[in-house]
Amino acid sequence: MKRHFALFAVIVFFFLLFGLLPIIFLVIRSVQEFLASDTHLIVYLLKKSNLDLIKNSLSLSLIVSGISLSVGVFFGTILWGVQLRFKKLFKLSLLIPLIIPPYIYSICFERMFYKESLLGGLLSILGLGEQTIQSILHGMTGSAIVLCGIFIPITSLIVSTLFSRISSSMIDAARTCSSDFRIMLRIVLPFSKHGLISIFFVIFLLTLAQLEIPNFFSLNVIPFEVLTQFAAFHNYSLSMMASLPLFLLSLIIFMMEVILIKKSDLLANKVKLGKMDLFHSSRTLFALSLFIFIFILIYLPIGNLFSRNLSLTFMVQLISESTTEIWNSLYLAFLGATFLTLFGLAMALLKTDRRFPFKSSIDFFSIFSFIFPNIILGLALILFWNQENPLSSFFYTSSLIILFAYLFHFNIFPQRILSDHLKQLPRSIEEAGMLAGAGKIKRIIFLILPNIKESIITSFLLSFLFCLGEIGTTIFIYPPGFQTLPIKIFTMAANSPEHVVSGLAVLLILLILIPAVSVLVIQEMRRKYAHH
Amino acid sequence: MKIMKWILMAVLMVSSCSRDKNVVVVYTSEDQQFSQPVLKDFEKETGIQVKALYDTEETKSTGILNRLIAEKNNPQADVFWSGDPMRSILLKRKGITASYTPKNAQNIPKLFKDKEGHYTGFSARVRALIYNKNLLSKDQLPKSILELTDPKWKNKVAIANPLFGTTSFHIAALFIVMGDEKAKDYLLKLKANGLHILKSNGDVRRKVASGQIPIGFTDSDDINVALLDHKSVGFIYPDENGIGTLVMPNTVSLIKGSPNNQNAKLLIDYLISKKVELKLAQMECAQIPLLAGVHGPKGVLSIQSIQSMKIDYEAAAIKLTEILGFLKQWIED
Amino acid sequence: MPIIELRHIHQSFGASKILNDISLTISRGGFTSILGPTGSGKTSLFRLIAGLDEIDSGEVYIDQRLATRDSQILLKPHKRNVGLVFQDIALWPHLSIYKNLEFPLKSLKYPKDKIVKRIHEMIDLMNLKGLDKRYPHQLSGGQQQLAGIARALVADPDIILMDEPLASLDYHLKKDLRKKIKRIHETSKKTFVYITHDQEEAFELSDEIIIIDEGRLIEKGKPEKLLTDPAQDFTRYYLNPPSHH
Repeated sequence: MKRHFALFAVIVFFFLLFGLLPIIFLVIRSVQEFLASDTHLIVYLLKKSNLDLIKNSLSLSLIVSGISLSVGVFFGTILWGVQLRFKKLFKLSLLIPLIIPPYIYSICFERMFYKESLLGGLLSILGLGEQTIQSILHGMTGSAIVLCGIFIPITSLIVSTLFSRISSSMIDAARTCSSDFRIMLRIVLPFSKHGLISIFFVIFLLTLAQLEIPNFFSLNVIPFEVLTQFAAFHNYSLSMMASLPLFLLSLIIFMMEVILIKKSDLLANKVKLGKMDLFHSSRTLFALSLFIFIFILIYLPIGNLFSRNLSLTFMVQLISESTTEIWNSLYLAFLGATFLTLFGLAMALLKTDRRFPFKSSIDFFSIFSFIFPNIILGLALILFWNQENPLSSFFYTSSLIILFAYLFHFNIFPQRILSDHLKQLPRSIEEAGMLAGAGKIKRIIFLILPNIKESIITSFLLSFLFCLGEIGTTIFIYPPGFQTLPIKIFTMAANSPEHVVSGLAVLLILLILIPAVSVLVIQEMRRKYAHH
Repeated sequence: MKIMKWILMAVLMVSSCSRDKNVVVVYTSEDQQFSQPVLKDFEKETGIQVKALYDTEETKSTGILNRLIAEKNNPQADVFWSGDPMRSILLKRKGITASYTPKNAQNIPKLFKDKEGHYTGFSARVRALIYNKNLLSKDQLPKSILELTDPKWKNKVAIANPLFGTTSFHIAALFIVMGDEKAKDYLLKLKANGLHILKSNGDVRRKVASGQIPIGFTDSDDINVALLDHKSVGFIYPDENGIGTLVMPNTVSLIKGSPNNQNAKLLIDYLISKKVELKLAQMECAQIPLLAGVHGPKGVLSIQSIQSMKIDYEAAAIKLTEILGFLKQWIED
Repeated sequence: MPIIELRHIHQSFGASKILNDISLTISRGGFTSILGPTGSGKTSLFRLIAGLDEIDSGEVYIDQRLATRDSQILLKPHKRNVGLVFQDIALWPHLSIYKNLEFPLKSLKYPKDKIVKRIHEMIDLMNLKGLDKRYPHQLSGGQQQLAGIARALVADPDIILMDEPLASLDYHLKKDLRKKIKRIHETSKKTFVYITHDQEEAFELSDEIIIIDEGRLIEKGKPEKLLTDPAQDFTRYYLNPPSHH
C-alpha cells in the first residue's frame, strides 16, 4: 500500500513542478487582477462575440470528430477485415500525417492548391481558380478538411486495431447467417462501442484545443481569443478567463466519456486471430477509395512540398545552416521522449493498480494538462520559474524548462498507451512472480516491462515525434540561443521565399521520417528473423 | 526509489552545460532571416557570444514581448531589437527598458528616437500598398488610402489583423493624423466596402501575389520579398501629397537590469552603424538607412525621398492602447 | 445424393501447401467426422465448405449447387445454409444469449412471431431455460457451448459444421455433450460434419470418417471398416499407434 502512495506522491510532485504550481500561481494572480478590474466575468463571457467563438469551436469539433470517426470506421474496417494488397504500405502512409506538425501540414495543404502544383493546375482547368478554392476553404471548410486530413488516418489505424480485438471465429459464426454489412452494424460496431466513443471524445478535445489550423484559415475559435487577449492586449487575467469556456467544455466532454464508458472487462476475452475476408466482392472499390484518400490528403500535399525547386546543393546548404537547430531538436525530443515514457509508465502502473484508490485522478491529470492552453502554460512557467534564486534560474535558463512543458503537455499519450496494454496483461503474470517472492519493483522490471515492450517503444516514438514537432509552448519558453527546427521554420515562414520554407519543412519531415522508418524496418527485420 | 535517483542524476548531467561569461542575450522581433546574419557578424567581430531569441510578426509576437514583460522582475535579456517602435515604447511605459544613448545616435533623425534614450531607431520599413499587376493597371491605382472606401474597390482590398504588428501601428498612426472621429469613420467605411481582414502582412502579400485579392496594405519588406520571388506585383507609397507614408524604423533598447550590461551597450552601438544599415538595405528586406550620409544600394529608397508621416510615435503607442477595444469590435462585427 | 462435394481442391498459404488435390463427398443426413493430426488441413476444409476462404483451384458443391470455383466464392457463407460451432465457442460477448440466438434469425429475415417461437424451442432443447437473459461470460463453459450449438441450429440449416467443439471442455462435460450432440443429430436428421483430432470422439459419434494428413485425403469409410480393415498403412498406424500394444 505504501508504495502506491509514494509513487503517487512522486507523480504529484512532478506535476506540481512542471505546471500545476505555476498555473495555480498564475490563476491566483489573475483572479486578483480580474477582481480589481471593472470587467464582469459573466458579461464578458456572454458577449455575442464570445458566444460566436464557442459556437465555432463546438461546431468545428463536432464536425471534425464526427467525420473523422465515420470515415475512420470505414477505412479501419478496410484495413482490418478486407483482403488488400499493399496493406502495409497503406498503413505506413496513414502514419505520415501523425508525425508531421499540424502547422507544416497546413502549409503543405494550402500550397497544394497553388496554380503551379498538380491539383491546383487541374482544378484551374476545370474552372476552379485559386481564388474560388481559397474562398471555399476560408474558415470552417478549410479548417475542417485539414483537421480531418490529420485525424482520419490515425483514427483509421486505431479503429483497425480496435476491431482486431474481435475473435475471428465470432465473425465467421456471423458470416454463415448474415451479410457483411449487417455484421458490421450489429456485431463489430456494438462490440467496439466503448473504444469508438473514446476516439470520438479524444478527437473532440484535440480539435477544441487547436489554434494553429483554425487560425491558418481565419476561423475564430476560443484559443484564438485567448491569444488575442494575451498578445494584443497583454491582459493575462482576461486571457485566463477567455480560456474558461475551453476548460468547462473539456471537463464536460471528459465527464461524458467517464459516464459512457463504464468498466468493460467482459470484453477482455482471449482473442483468436484469423484471416478476415469481409466485403470480398467490393474490395477493389474499397482499396481504390482508400488510395484516393491517401493520395489527395497525404501524398499530394507532402509530395508537392518536395517538388518545389529543391536542388541538392540547396538542401545541403540549408542543412549546414541549421545544424544547431537540428541537434537542439533531436536532443530535446530524445530527452522528452525518455522522460515522458518513464513518467507515463509510472502513471500507467498506478492507474491499473486495482488497490490504488485515486485511479481516476490519473486520467484527470493527463487530460487537464493536455487541454491546458499552450500560451498560458508558457506564461505560468515563466512567472513561476524565472526567480532570483540559483535553483529556479538553473531550470529557467537551461533547456530543462522546455522538458517540463513537454512532460506536462504530452503525458497523456504514453500514459494511455501503456495503461491500455497493462490492462490487457493477464494478472497471472504478476501473481506468479508474487508467489515466487519477487518484490514489486522486481516484478515490474522483470515480469511486466518485457511484456509491454512494444508499447514502451511505441510510447517513446510517439512522444519523440510530438516533442520534435512542438511549437506552441516551446516558442514561449525556449532559452535564448536554443532554437529548435520547428521554431526556426515558424519564424522564418514570415518573410522567407517559398522555397526556403519548403526546404526547411522538408528537412523537418526527413528528420522525423528517417528514425520512424528505420525503426519500422528494424522491427520488420526482427520479425522475419524470429520466424526462421 | 532508486529509479528517482537515477532520473535526477540524468537531469543534472544533461543540463550542466557551462555558462559562458562573455555573452549578450538579445530578444528580437525583426525577422530571423534578416537579424540572424547581423548578429552572426557581431559575434565574429567582437568574440562575444550572442544568444538570440527570435520571433516574428506572423506569430503575433506573443513570445518576446510577453516574455520581456513576464521577466520584468528578473530580467534575462540584455537587448531588445524590435521591428518597430511600438513595442519599444510599450516596454518603456512598463518600465522594462533603460536609457542608453548609442554612439551614433546623434546622426539619427529626431523623429526616430526616444527623447530619453529608451530606444533608438535605425534601418526602416515603410507601410505601403501592394497590388497585383495582372489585375490592376498603373492608371487604376489609388493615390491615397482614403480612396479605398470608394465602391469601385468593393471586396478588393486586404489588410492584416489590426490588433497585431505593424498594422496596429499604422491604424494608431492614422488615428493621430486624422483624429479619432475621422479615423473611425474611415475604418467603418472600409469594412462596409468588403475589406478582407487577413492573418498577417505576409498573408496579404501572398493573397495579392497569387491574384486572389487585387490590392492590400503591407510592409515594404514583404513587398520586396514578393518582388524577389518573381511575383507579378507592384507597390505604391500612398498619400505622398497628403498625410504622408508611415515610416517604421527598427528600434533597439537596453533592458533595465540587464545581466550583461557592457556587452549589451556594445551590441546596441554595433546595430546603430553604417555597416548594419547597409547590410539590412542589401538584404531581401531592403530596409531604408536612417543614419545621415548612409545610402542604400540602387533600388532602395532614401529616407529623404519619402514624404513621411509626421507623428509622435509615443502618442501613437498610447493611442493604440486606447483603440484596441474599438478595433477588436471592428473586426468582430 | 451427396450434400457436400469437393472436387480437386488445392489450397496454399504463401509457399506452403495446405490442401493437395482433395476430392470427397459427404452424404445427406449423415454424421461425418474429419479426423487427422494437428496441421493436417482439417480446419481449412471446414472453412472452405462454409465459404469463409477461397481456394486456389477446384470446385465445391453444396446441395448440388456450385458454391466455390477456384478463387471465386459463388455462394456466400450466409447463402449456404450451414451452421458453425467453434472450439472457442465465439458467442458474441456484447449480446445476451437470447440476442445471440436472435441475430441469425433476424439476419435471415424470419417473421417476428417465428423468431420468438424458434428461440424458445432451442432454449428448451439445450436445457438453457432461465439463462436467456444472461450474457455469455455469465455462463459456465459447458453452458456456453450449448448456447453455441443452439446458435448454429437456430436458423434450421441443412449442414452443421463443428470444429473441435469439445476440445476445451473437461472430461465429464465432454462425455455429456457428446451424448447431447448425438441425440440432436438423431432427432434433427441434419448433416453433421465434425472436425476433430480425437479418435474416441470420432468413433463414438460418426457413421462415416474421413482421414486426412498433410493436406491429402488418406481414406474414407465406416468406422468399423477403418478400424479393422484399413486400406492405407497410415490409417492403421494413426488409429493403432505401436506404443498402444
